[in-house]
Amino acid sequence: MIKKLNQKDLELMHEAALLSPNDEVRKRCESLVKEKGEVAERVWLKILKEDESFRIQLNQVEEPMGLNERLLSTTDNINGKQFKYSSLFRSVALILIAYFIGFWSNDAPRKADVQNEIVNQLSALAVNDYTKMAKSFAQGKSLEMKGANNKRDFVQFAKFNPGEDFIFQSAELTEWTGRKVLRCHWQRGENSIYVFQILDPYINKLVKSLSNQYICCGVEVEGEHASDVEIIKGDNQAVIKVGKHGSFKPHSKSISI
Amino acid sequence: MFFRNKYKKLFEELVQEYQAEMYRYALRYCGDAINAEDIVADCYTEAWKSIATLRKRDSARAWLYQILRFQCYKWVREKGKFKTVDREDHRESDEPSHSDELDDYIKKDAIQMALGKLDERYRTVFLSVFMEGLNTKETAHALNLPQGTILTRIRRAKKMMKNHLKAYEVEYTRKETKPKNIKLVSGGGND
Repeated sequence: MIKKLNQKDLELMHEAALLSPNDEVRKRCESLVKEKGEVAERVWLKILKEDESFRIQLNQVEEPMGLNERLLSTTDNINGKQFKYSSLFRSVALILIAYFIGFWSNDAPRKADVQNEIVNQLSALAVNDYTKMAKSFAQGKSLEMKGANNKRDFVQFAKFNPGEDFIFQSAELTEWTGRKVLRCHWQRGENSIYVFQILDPYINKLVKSLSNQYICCGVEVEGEHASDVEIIKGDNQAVIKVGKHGSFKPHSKSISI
Repeated sequence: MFFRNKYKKLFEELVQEYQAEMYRYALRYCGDAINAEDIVADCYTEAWKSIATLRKRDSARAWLYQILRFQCYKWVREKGKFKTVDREDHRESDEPSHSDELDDYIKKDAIQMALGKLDERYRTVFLSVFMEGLNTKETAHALNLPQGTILTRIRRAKKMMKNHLKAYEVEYTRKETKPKNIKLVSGGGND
């Protein structure tokens, strides 16, 4: 008996054709094809053939001579020091080791040293990102409006309190040495402020270990007081505010997390 | 030093194992052999720099593809345009003497030309499925997009590819340089 194929069947067939033969959806599709009869079988075979033809044609590429040598020389050209070990985690790990060694040798570095290192490293990452973004923004490169309307990566983002007059510009998911961070851009007059919301549990844990809820510091570039950084220890998430020196009031509780 | 040697060995394995497919992907993505080589070299440079972050050897392929996709994306942003060989020029100057070679050339170039006409978001999905070998769920995860979007894009990409290839065949037939053994992907109508 031949049954008619509807749009849904076709969609299922197209999807199933991309799955491995053991996949449940594919098996379900194959049973459907059997059930629907000859026409469905013809269509199914045609889809499989098409897909296979694409795979074959796309893979008909000759490898260039010398590529292997070029790639293998990478390890000699790139110094080991350039490894992207996360400097934050490496420094913190070293300090923790030093702390424990010091503990046993009765010469323990103070807890404040560990905290300072965490603050310094986080500030450096935030200022680095901020500087890069501020530069692109100044050059007129558009920043995508993601995050705010993006239900897929839905994250409740930290907002400035209404009285602060900051206007939301954009939000984007980014990474700091492989750790997820949400970057929000706010503007008040000519002042741009970037608010980094840490989504990585490990960094949040580090920030949670800090004793103060608000930690402010200024970052100097070549002797000039360039940026202000404020690390805010939230209940579940840490937030880092970065802006040009004097562009926001520290400790102002201006943000709701 | 111990770690460097350990990582070096792992890196060399990754080069031997995946360089060919990385190059194929890059070439199909950007349409130009020289740029494809540069993209692959950049990809491996980045991989080497962050090789310490590769936690499981089993996930090396997916990890490399992730870097490669980023490099391709970066390349498009910086240099911009997909490159294809101009067939008119090619036929006049370098036309192979044997018809089989010509068929072969046309066949390869046709798919490259068709890919070049795809919008970048369709091309990425299309290549992830047909070159990287991911299914729709894996593609959705790799590209951080909903599965429904991937299904729609792959369907549209296939349709566009078929149309471009068909148009290409028609153009060739009209110019009476009809190649003998071209097996183009058969036409749509079902979706």
